Amino acid sequence: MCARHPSASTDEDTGPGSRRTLYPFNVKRSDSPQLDQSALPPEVWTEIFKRLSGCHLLRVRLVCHRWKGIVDSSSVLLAKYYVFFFRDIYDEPSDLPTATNAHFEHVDIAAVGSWWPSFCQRLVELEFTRCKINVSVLLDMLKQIPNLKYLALSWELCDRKQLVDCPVAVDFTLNKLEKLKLEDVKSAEIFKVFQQLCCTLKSLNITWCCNRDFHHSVEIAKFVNGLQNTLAELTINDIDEVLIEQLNEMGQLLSNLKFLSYCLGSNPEHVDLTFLSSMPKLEILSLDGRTINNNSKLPNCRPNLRELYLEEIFFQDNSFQMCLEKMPNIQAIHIDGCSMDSWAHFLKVLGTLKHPRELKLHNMFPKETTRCYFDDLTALKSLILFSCKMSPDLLATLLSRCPSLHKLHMTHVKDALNDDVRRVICWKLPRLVELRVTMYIEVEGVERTSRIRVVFDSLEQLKSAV
Amino acid sequence: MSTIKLETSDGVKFTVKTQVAKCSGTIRTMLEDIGINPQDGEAIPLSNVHSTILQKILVWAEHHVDDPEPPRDDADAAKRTDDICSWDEDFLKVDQRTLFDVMLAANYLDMKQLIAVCCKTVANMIKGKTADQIRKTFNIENDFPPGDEDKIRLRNQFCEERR
Repeated sequence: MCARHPSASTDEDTGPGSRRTLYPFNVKRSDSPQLDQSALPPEVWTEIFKRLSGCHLLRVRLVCHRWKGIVDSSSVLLAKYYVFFFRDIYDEPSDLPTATNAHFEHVDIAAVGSWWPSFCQRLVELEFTRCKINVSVLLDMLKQIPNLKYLALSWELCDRKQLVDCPVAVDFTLNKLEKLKLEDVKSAEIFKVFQQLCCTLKSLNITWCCNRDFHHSVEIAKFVNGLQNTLAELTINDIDEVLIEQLNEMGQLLSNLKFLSYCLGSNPEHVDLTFLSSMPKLEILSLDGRTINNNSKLPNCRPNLRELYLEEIFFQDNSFQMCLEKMPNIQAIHIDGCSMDSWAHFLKVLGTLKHPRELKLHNMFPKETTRCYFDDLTALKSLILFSCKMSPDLLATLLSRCPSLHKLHMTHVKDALNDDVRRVICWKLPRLVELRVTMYIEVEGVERTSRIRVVFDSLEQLKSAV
Repeated sequence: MSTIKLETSDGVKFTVKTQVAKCSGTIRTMLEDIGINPQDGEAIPLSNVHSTILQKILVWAEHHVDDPEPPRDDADAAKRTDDICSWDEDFLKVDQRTLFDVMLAANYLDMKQLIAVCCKTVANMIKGKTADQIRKTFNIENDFPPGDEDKIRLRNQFCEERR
């Protein structure tokens, strides 16, 4: 009768002897004098250690050989801390803890020595922050880590040239790399290198300098295009006309994209964002207009969109409301500094949507701020207003139409916090559990007028103020 | 109510409600997948478990028999160690030998919830202690050659906790 439980084969830890023993007749209890710590098999200790934080685990490594071995052979435990190199790698750091995560900061990677191959065997995540990176050296390092899943690179600020001995020959690929973050890229060669290096990325985050000296749009577009089968998340800090044109061309190819974040950056007016229409799976869209004269339209936004983040986008007429109507499943809307004619249109559309749970409005100053009629926002649980222009009447109406509100933050809501509004907050929001109202009151002193920050963070405080 | 018989390593036979016995994944598999028929009256041998420990484990299983299934692999829940219910806390106020025997038996019997609560208890015994204090707590001998512990400590300085 041998009962092998199915779960015995699912443990991902491959430490020595970590298989669960489930054969009832062939297990002998060891009667070792050191009963305690050897009594429990390694997989049970691993389970215990999983409940400890990284700094506790480092102490566990100091206790005895066996415990050190248990920690060092479990990838789950190793993932709780990372090995960190800062500035100078002054000696040969041999015998470093085997790590799944390593982080270099302000390091010249040329200083990484012969210890690297033995150290990097288990690496899954690797970050270089503000490092001096010679691409050939980097490639030699990466070649040793076939299991790498996440790589982040940012160059030393003064490293203007980003030493690339162009062209660099790439004779291997990182097939398991899923997530790549390239920060402050100044050399187009970098994109060419990574285009050859990784072709199955799921997530790509690029920040690059979009200005007259750097024309990398074509390289970026080529890189992105090569990832069309796998890419689900794309973040680009800056896109110029060339890149937008390229993206419009390949829009349909990027059909797996679920998350897209762009900064429209230093762009001219009339940005054509039609490529958004051809991304059927898009769930999260984040657009940063950065410039006020951006007459962009959001064409036929996707019905699957769940989260929308907009910053400094200028919408003509009612184009925003019209596009919002086409997102019936939207759950979170964050708008910061976008133009809008009146609250009325926006709130009316919002009232017709079934699912918005989260609404964050920052720096919104519509021309029309007075009261209007709209349906209850029944699903709304979280409302954050920061420096928005709204009449007290409208604010009171808005709050009284959010019966499910759990969380309410209001900061700098100009002159709108009158007694009516306070009454609505105190009496008409039965589910409210988190409240913070912050405002500044000017107090005339003897010599000068000073501003005092007043915070109410409980209903009781607000009630007593009423 | 159906019952089954369990026989411990020291030959003691327990008659247990089937539902309670099924808190053990190992016994559940034996009954359901392998098709052992408890009506035969034959006791299931648990050759790894002593009667004093099985008795204790059955008390726990009896108390928790109606617990809902825990959420699968909830990473956050696994990290916490401050959510042991007071009944379990009292239940595990035993000497270390017994605690470890319960864990071994729970491991053998595949009782995930009991293992989890024991692991939390032991983790709490490690938390906030220096290596030396941990050794003392668990009666572990420092088996590193002289100087090696300092070397490891030095290398540990390269490590930082992940947020």
